[in-house]
Amino acid sequence: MAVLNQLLPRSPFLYELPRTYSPDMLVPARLYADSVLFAQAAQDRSLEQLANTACLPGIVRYALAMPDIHQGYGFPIGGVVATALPDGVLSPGGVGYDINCGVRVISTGLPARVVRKKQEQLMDGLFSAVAVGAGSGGGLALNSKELDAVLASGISWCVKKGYSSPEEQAHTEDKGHLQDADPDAVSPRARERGLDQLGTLGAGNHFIEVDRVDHIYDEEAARAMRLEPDTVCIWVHCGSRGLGHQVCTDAVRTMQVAVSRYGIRLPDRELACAPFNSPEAREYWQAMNCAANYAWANRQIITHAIRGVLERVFAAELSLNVGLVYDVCHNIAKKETHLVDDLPRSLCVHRKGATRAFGPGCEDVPADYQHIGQPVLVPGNMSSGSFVMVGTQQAMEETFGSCCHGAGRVMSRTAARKTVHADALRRQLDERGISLRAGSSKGLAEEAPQAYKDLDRVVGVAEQAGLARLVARTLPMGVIKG
Amino acid sequence: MPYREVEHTADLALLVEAHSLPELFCEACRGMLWLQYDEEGHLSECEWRSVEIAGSSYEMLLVEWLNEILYIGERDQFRVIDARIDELSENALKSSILICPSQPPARDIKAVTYSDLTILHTDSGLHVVLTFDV
Repeated sequence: MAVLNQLLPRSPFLYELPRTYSPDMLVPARLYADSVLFAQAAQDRSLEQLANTACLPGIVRYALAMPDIHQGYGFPIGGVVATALPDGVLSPGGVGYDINCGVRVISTGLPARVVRKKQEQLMDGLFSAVAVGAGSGGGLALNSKELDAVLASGISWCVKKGYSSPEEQAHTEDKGHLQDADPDAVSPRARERGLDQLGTLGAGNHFIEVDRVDHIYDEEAARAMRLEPDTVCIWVHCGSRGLGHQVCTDAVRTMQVAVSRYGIRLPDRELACAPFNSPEAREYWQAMNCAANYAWANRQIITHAIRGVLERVFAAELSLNVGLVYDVCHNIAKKETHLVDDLPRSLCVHRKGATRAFGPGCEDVPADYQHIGQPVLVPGNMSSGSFVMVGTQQAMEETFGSCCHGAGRVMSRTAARKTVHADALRRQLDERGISLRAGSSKGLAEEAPQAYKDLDRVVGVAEQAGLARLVARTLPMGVIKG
Repeated sequence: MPYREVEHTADLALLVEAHSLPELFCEACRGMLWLQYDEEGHLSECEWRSVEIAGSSYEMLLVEWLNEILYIGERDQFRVIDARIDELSENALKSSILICPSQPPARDIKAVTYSDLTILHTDSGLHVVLTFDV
C-alpha cells in the first residue's frame, strides 16, 4: 500500500502523511500510534480512509486519526476532521449512522464485595429492565409531542420529567442538550423510528457493563469523579437508535446530489457533504442535533432504569449512592472554537469514533471538573477492562481537543466468528467471575476480546502523546451485550 | 453463492456477483438477508409488496432500495424473504418484495452505506461490494 511508504514518524507516537501523497489532499494527515498500532492500522483500509478525509473542502490543519483507528465507511473509526465555518463542509458520514453513539459511567458507591454477593440478581435485573438487541420497540412509548420535546431538549426533557437530576445533566457533554436542534428538520420516517426506542440499548457493540474500580492513577481526579478503589461503577454504551440511523440515511442520500451541485469531488461517496452554510447542511445539522439530544436522553432513560434496579437489589445497602461520572459522545459534529495559527477560529469538528478531550480550564468542562479536565471514557473489551482519563491542554493544541474512544477493532467480524465460539467465550468469562447476558450468540463471538486491540497500548499511546491522562482502570464483573 | 461475505474490520461487507443489474440487485438483497437472519424457521401469512425508489445512479438505487427493505423489516416486524425487480432504469426502480411477519433479525444492520461503492462491469459479469453499518 503506497500510503505506508509515505507515512513518516514525526515523534515516537505520531506519524504524518504529507499532502503530496495525493493531489486531492488539502492538508497533511496525522496518526497517533506506536509501531505496533501503526502496523495494525496498516492491515486494513483505515490509512487510505484517513488520507481520503484530508480531501474534504474547508478542512483545517490536519486530518487526524486516534490510536484506536480502524477501517470504517468513509471516515476511518478514530477519525477527527475540523472544517472552517461558515463555508467548510459538513459530512454526515463523518458523524456516522449512530449519531451521538457514546459512553457514560455511573458510580454506585457500592463496594465490589457487596455487589459480588448479589451479582447474578443484579445482572438479571438489568437484563430485564433494559430492552436489548435488534429490532424496534421495548422502550418508553412517546407521543409525537413528547418526541418533539426530547429532540429539542435532550437531557433537559429528562430533568423536567424526573428521569435525570440537574447534577447528572451537568456531568453530560454539552449538558445533553444541543441548542440548534429543530424537530421540523427530522423526517417523518426518522420520527416514527424514534417513538418507541427511547431507553433501549440496541445491538452490535453496545453494552452495559458492571465494573469494579481496579486501579487509580490520579487520586485527585478520581476523587473528583467519586471513583474509589474496589467500588462498583456501570458503563453504558449506546446511541440514537433507529432515529439517528434514519437521520443519517436521509442526509447521505441528500448529499449524494448536493456534492454535484457544489462541485465537490470526493474519493469515496460515503464522504458526501455540503458547505456548512448550504440548505442541505443546515437541515442535516438541525436534524443531527435532534438525534444527538435523543441519544443523550436514551442513555439517561437507561440510567434511570439502572438506578431502579440498583435500588431494588441493594435496598438494604446504606452505601448506595448513584451518580453520573460523565457522559461523552464519540460520533458527532460540533461547532467549536480552537486556536489555529494562534488565532481563534470557529470550526465544525467531526469526531467519528473519537472522544472530546477538553483540558482543564475549558469553558465547556463541568465546574467540578474544571481543575482536572473533561473526563474521557475509554471502554475496552468485555474481559480486560476500561479506562477513565481526562483531557489535556496538549489535546486542545494538537487534536482540536480529541482522543481515542475505545480499544479499536483489530480483527474482522468474519474472522472473529471463525476464531471464537460463543459458548467457549461464555465459559472463559464465567471462569473469570464475569457474568454475561447477550442478545445474540453470533454478535457475541464478533465482540470477543481478541477482536480488539490491546487497550493498555492504545491508552498508553494517548497518554504518552499527551492527548489525555490516566485516572482509573475498571475491570468487568458483569456484561450485557446487545 | 452469488454473494459472499468479505473482510471488514468494523462492519460487514458483502461481495455480490451477477450477470445483469436486476439479478445483481436481487442477489444483494438476498445476501443482506442472509447476513441478518440465522435460519428460515416457520413463516406464514406472507405477501408480496411493491417498493419503488427514485435515484440518480444504479449505485444510489441499490443503496436506497436495500435501506428501504431494512426499514420495512424494522417498522412492521416483517422479514423480507425474497425480491424481484419489475422495472429498472438509472433513475428509478420498481420491485416486489415477499414479506412475512417475523421476530426481529439475529443481527441489526443500521444502514447500507455508499462506502467505496461502484458497480463494476467485468468480462464475467457485474460485481459490487456493499458495506453495512452494524
